[in-house]
Amino acid sequence: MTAPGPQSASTAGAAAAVGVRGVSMVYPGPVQALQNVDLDIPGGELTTLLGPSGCGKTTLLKIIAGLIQPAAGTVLVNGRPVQGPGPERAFVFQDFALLPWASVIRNVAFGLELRGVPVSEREAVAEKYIAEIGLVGFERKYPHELSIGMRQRVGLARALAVKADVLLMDEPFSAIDEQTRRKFQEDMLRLVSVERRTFVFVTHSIEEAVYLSDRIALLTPRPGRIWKIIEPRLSRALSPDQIRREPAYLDMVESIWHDLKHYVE
Amino acid sequence: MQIFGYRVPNAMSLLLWASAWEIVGRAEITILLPPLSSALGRLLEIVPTETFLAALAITLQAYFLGVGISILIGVPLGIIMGRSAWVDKLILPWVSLFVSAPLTALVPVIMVLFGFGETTILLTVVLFAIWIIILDARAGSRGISQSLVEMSRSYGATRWQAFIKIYLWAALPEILAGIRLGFVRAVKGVIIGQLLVSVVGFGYLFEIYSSNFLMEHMWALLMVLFAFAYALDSGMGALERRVEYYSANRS
Repeated sequence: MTAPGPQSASTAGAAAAVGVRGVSMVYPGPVQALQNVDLDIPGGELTTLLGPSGCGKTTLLKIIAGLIQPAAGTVLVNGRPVQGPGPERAFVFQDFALLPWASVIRNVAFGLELRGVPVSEREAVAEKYIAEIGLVGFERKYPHELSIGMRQRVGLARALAVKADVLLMDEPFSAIDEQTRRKFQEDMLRLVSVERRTFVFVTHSIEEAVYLSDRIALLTPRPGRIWKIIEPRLSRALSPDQIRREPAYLDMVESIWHDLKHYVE
Repeated sequence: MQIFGYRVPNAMSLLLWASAWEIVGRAEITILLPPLSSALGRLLEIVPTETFLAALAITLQAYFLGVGISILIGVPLGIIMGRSAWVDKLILPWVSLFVSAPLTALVPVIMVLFGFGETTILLTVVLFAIWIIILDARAGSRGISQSLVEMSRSYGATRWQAFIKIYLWAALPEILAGIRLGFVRAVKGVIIGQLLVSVVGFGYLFEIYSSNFLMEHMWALLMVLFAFAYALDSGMGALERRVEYYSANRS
């Protein structure tokens, strides 16, 4: 990879699937949402952007997605600078962004439909991922016939179906009730290990971040900057229930809360 | 409806007013109001005649062609206005002006420009129908959620794909509401156009009937037109209810 500029020699950059280089964002106001953010996101792992509300973590995710043009800096995906949305990245939306008039299978296959993949082929792919996320039997249902949790599974399957290297997930579980969310998080862990893709995950839940992440990028409040990188490294051999009782898990949640506490009024 | 504890079907009120009409008509109070039964009899008599069918054909053609043009131009234009700030700024003042303007006053202008023919009637239909269709399509497309727009961008939709596969459908409930109103306004347009031109279609028939004081014919014709407008409106209402299921939970 020939990443241009002096940053190409940055640490851990070699295996980075996504490289954020000096990204700043200013909204009209002016509000400095992000200030000079540098971040390497390694491939094949789940990296979480965690921070207090208003720290610009969703903005950063949308800049990586190419949906927002940063005021300064660049984002590299697989070594190439991001100009806009691209097929190597797929987005999972906080409010799912499903087509209400389309069945589950058409929603899941929608990314492929836009690329002109023939019906039979794209439905075969969609069926595979519908099975993967556990919605077999719901292919011909419509979003309003599904529970909130199932809707987000459809959103996730749509992102998986386009075979993007990088999945960008914007608080995907925030609209989902507590019990469903726990189940979803457990499925998410399995998915990360099966799919071996790069996941970038935005959340404001410390527990969720520690439970799911290989790496956590902790952001400061506005203007958002990378404050520290935390690697939970919890043993994935443990069952989900065991992890949630692990001292290492509980200590890490506590220490992040300690870090963030003084930002919360 | 309940009267003195008895359930009375809603059609009863219609029957009541029809009887009142019949009685007033038979009492021969005014030449303007013949009995309902003779107007209905006249209806059955004139509908199969060649003049009536020719007038009907001209009217329906101008009507549906005009509505079709209004939809084909109005819906895309309204959607584009809802998505593009500068197109909106450019066109909205005109749409807002025309949607509430007394359009009848413009028909003579069209007549001067396009003559006393079917073109004028067609343009009158478009003039009456198109503005509300544009305005409602615009409202629908403004209401499309930001995340659906971002979804279409992030999954690589071209402008055309976004329009055809997302915007059009997401705005459909408002678009259909606008088309429904456009249908009703177009009935006004086609009749007013014909009345003012008064040498073709129903306008011609109205002219003959009224100048010869053929009140039974006149009422028969009015009933046909009212029934036509009402049937169109009900048909569109039924279509709207079919898409209502997702207008409530568009996310």
